[in-house]
Amino acid sequence: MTALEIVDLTVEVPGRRVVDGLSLRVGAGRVVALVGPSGSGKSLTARSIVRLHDPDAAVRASGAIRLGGTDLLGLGARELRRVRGRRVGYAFQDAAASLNPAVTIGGHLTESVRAHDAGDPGELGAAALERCGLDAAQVWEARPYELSGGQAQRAALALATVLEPDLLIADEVTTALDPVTQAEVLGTVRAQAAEQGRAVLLITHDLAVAGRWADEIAVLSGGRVVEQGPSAGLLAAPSAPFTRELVAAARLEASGPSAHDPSAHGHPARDAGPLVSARGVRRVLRGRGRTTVALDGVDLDVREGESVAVVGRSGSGKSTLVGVLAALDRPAAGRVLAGERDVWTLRDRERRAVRRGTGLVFQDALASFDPRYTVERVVAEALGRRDGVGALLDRVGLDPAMAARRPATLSGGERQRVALARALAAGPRLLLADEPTTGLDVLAQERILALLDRLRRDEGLAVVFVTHDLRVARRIADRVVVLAGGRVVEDVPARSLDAAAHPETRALLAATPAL
Amino acid sequence: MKRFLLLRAATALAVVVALSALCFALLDLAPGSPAASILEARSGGRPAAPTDVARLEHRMGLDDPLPVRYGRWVSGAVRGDFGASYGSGRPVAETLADTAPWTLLLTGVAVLFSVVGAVGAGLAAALTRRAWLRRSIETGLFALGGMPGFVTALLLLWIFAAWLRWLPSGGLARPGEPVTAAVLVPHLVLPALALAFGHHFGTYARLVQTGVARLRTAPHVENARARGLRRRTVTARHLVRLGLVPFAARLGVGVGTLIAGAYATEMIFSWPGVGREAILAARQQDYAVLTAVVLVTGVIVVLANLLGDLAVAWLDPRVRLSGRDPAAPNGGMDRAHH
Repeated sequence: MTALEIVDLTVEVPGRRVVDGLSLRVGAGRVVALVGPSGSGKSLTARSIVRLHDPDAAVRASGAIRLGGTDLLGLGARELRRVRGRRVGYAFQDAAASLNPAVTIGGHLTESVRAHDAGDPGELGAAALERCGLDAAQVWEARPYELSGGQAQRAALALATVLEPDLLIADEVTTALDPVTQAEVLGTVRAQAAEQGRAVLLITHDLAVAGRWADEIAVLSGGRVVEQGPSAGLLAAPSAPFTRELVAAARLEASGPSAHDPSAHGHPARDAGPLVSARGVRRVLRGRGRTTVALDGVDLDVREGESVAVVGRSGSGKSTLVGVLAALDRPAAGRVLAGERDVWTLRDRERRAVRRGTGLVFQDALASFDPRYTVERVVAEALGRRDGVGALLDRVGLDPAMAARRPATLSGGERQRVALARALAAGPRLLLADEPTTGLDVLAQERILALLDRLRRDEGLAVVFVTHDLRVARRIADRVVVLAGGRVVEDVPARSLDAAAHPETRALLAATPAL
Repeated sequence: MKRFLLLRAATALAVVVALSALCFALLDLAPGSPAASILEARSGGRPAAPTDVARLEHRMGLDDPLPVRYGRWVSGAVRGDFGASYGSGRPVAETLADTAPWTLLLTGVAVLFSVVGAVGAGLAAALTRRAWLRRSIETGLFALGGMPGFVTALLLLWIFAAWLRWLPSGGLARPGEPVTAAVLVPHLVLPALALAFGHHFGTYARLVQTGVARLRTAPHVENARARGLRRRTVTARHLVRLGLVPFAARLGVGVGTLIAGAYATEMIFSWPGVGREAILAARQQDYAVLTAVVLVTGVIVVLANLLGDLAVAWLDPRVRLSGRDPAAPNGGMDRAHH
């Protein structure tokens, strides 16, 4: 039985047709993944189903979106409100941000139930939380910011499904979650779909996620579905050229010399002393009324030309480690060595020189730029002069003509390259990259990873790459370091990762979907 | 929440104590001697002989060291005794009791006008779909924002008192005449309006507007719409409440400016408040009155700040936990708010 049927949907934003004749069916009790690169029209399609566009943007949709027997595009505002939340649940990418910080979880559930006069809010809300694996007694009075990332996503899921909708739209719900939490959340979504006969439209840019948790995959390109079929078959034998390209990129196989073979590098990886070392580093974070030991006795060496992936669940201390290795955050105990010198016994001036020898790249590149700056100014500021900006942009594979643009007008992959150009401006020997490809689609991700490979091979740059994605870690790194609870629980060559024995590594491996 | 309250109250008290000491020290540094001013006033403007000045200073205790005088003043102040005016000899506490309520009434009503006006105009500008309405509100706010407080006051006087003759221009209190509500209300409207619209009104309305408009596409507001909540619920509960946080934070600080403005407004509309006394006292170097006025003003400002903080904490519970800058609700949401 078809729950959702989209026929020949066209969506236009001023000056552009983003969705162009898209047709899609989602059967009751089925999970269909809508997969495609950024800008392919995934999110706009999902939003069009319940007309969730920015109230100021003039978005025009035509075609038909049928739910049961209702054409949603033809509904007036009043009827549409009754469909939203009751017949169509919507879960967002950033769960914590999708909840009002001033309202408790119970308050959110209550207002949803009341808005549709659907019954007793306490009873329905508690049942929904329970279905999503949360203890109502524990989280009912909690506010969103008091929950962990995984709990917040479960609470948001409970909120989207509290009235047991026929259709759940899950819009990149696990992009920011670590693989273990991701597996738990998507497992719940799938089980509920089967039990309650719910259709699920899973929006994702991650083919492996789609392959593991969706019954069917619809590949989107240029605003239309280029291929739809059962997951296993589609991934094993993609027929459309675009699908083949996407699958190849998602396999994360390095082209050119293997990243795992140190001899392929022009620089010695093992004989030189370490560029940066952590010795027994402990870092304690205080705030929000609680104290967290983020790093608890971490030892780590990074050598010239080496690529080290740091993986672990959310809250395992990955990003804290980056701050410590960058000589920005002072450890409570232990030492951080740059070469032979303890950076926290140096004078401020010398420590700043050490920092200049380290490039930093973050997940949200845009947030790390001054919004008023052009690309040229962003890079020139780090470089100390204007000439040479073009050469740097060229080095990271950007057209030097982009220098005049503002980062906000660039794509996610291009922004991350600008961030890389800025990080390379001072000629660092070490690059610290904190989840630089999280949130990028597989094609943009592959281009960034290939660029990092080239920088290492040609210039001997050492890279510390933080990621929650073991596939990316394996693709980019010689060595994989697994963090759990602020400790290093595994430090192995990337090629022997599959043989690693620590339970945390095993859990991460088991939760990571593969293609 | 309890800890947050205690902490804020303790800070407020410390600020008041520091303020009184600073004010006392500053007046001590000011050139001229109050005793000389008194003698000059008594003799009709003739300069006083240094021996007479010294004798009067000794009698008034002005030749004691600063800490002694401060100690004496504090021990009186905590009992509500601020000494006597150097000029008239009248107890300062009496003068304050006569004038402070008028100032409180004026500023209270002005704050009310300011809040109602700013929230009204700001919300209308943020929520309307009619571009002409938003633009005319913005233009009006811009014009108001560029006008100094006293110009607003004079403009209001000219329109409503001189030209339309709807409202009196001032002169509320005539000696011996009781003030009834029928007399008070028309006299109160113009000065309160002048005070409200002449002091950062444009900033307040703009903060409401941008605070709310910025949240219109916030994920939690989208989610509220996606859950099929009624428009009214989405606006009131998810949009306006958090959207008012920057405004509330700024208002608590702004009340200080409003009170400073109240003193000028009181002069323009001959309102019988503390402001007129303060300006007269400053002219006469009447330190007893001046110190007390500064202290009372300080207490009001500190209380207003405290109320502002509490309002912010009530609107956004995250502030209670961290006690951090309420103008920055969170990193992600606040990127556009430099």
